[in-house]
Amino acid sequence: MTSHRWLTLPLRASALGSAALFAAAVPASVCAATYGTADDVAHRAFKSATAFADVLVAPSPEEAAALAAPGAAPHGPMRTIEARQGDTVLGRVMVDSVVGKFEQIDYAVAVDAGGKVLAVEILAYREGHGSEVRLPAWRNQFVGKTAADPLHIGADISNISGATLSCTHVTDGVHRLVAWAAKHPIAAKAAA
Amino acid sequence: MRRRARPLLGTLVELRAQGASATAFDVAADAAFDAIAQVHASMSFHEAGSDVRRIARARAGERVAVRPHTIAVLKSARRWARLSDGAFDAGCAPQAVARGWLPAPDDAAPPGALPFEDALEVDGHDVLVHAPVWLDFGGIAKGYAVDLAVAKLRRAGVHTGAVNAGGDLRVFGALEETVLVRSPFDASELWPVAALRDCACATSASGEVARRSGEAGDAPAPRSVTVLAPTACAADALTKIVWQQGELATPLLRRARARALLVRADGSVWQS
Repeated sequence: MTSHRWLTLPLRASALGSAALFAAAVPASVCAATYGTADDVAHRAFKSATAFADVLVAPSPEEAAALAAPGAAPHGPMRTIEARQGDTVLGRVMVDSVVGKFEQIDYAVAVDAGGKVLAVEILAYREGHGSEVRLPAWRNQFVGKTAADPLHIGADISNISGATLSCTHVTDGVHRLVAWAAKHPIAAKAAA
Repeated sequence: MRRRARPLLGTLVELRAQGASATAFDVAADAAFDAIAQVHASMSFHEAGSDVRRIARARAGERVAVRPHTIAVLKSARRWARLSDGAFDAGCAPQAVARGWLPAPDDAAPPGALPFEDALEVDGHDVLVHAPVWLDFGGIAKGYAVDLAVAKLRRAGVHTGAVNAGGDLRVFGALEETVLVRSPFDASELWPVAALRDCACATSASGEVARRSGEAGDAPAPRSVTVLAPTACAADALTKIVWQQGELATPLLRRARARALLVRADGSVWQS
């Protein structure tokens, strides 16, 4: 049955302009969510695979620059997972992370042997990069109102309404990975 | 709680399920993500091949065949426009382009001033374009996509869970969730504002909605509007209406079994 109720907002015209007065700092990693692993993504994208192999890619200096976001430090070694069926390589999953203004997003891109994108999935999200995330001190009023520890109220992004969260960085990152994959086609037959 | 997330609709879309097996959730989540991707492809103003952009390119008198989701959203948008006396305006893409929130399409002439609900007519699976319109479904398509994802999850056997598309949130089944809203005055601060059960919630914050002058009296401009409603589509559309109308939206909120929280630039708060 549909139900909703407002929680008491102790906001007044005089006080709200400086709402920070209510705020208490909580650990910077308070806004975070973990969704799954790159192995999960590989298993979902390549259901007919019989084996998965971890391949750590060490990009050349030029590739490291091309893989990095504009203005960012060169990309380090990149984890990939090759999906195989017998000795045929079906495709691979590339693992990367992008840093936005306030957040870091780990994500994985699954591509088939021809380089076509099969799936892009978020692995983890962390907010607080470069800034503190704070919950108002009056959050204490919610103690006992949810099953979770009150500090867990803000412990992930699941319930933030109107989170101005842009995935532009992820989209740009996907383009860089796909461009890299196109230049490094995997051999259709895996080395024995 | 099982969860997956993908970058869709220009934001992070998160699906959660409680009490479902890993396999059942994976199958259900794949179906839900596929449906959201279809909404994205049909209604993105950024994608030149989307239905919205094909309508923008159409000349007066042209008939444009569109996907069923686009028809559903357009019908819903027309309904909200009618119920709100035009406060809900899906033809507002030109203003969003002028403000730099949307890219200017290089393949469509600027539209006229006719309201979108008069300029477009739905006929079966076609849209009859009486006058050119640039549609911006930003005020409703995300909510529609969330409702669609909830339906897909349920059909696939997920009875309890939640879908969050960049802040358009819906919880279903035996789950009560506290919703947090970012302070419009300090983005690093989160306000727990409501407890939801089988209910949707949407928030619009300044920087997303342009208010037309002359409406809602002389009250200070809104900075953040949150609406709780039975569906995400209604919550999404109603945030835009409350943004324009303020307290005047009370009868419509009641009729939609919805409630609103409006925070204005002077820090004053109105709750229905």
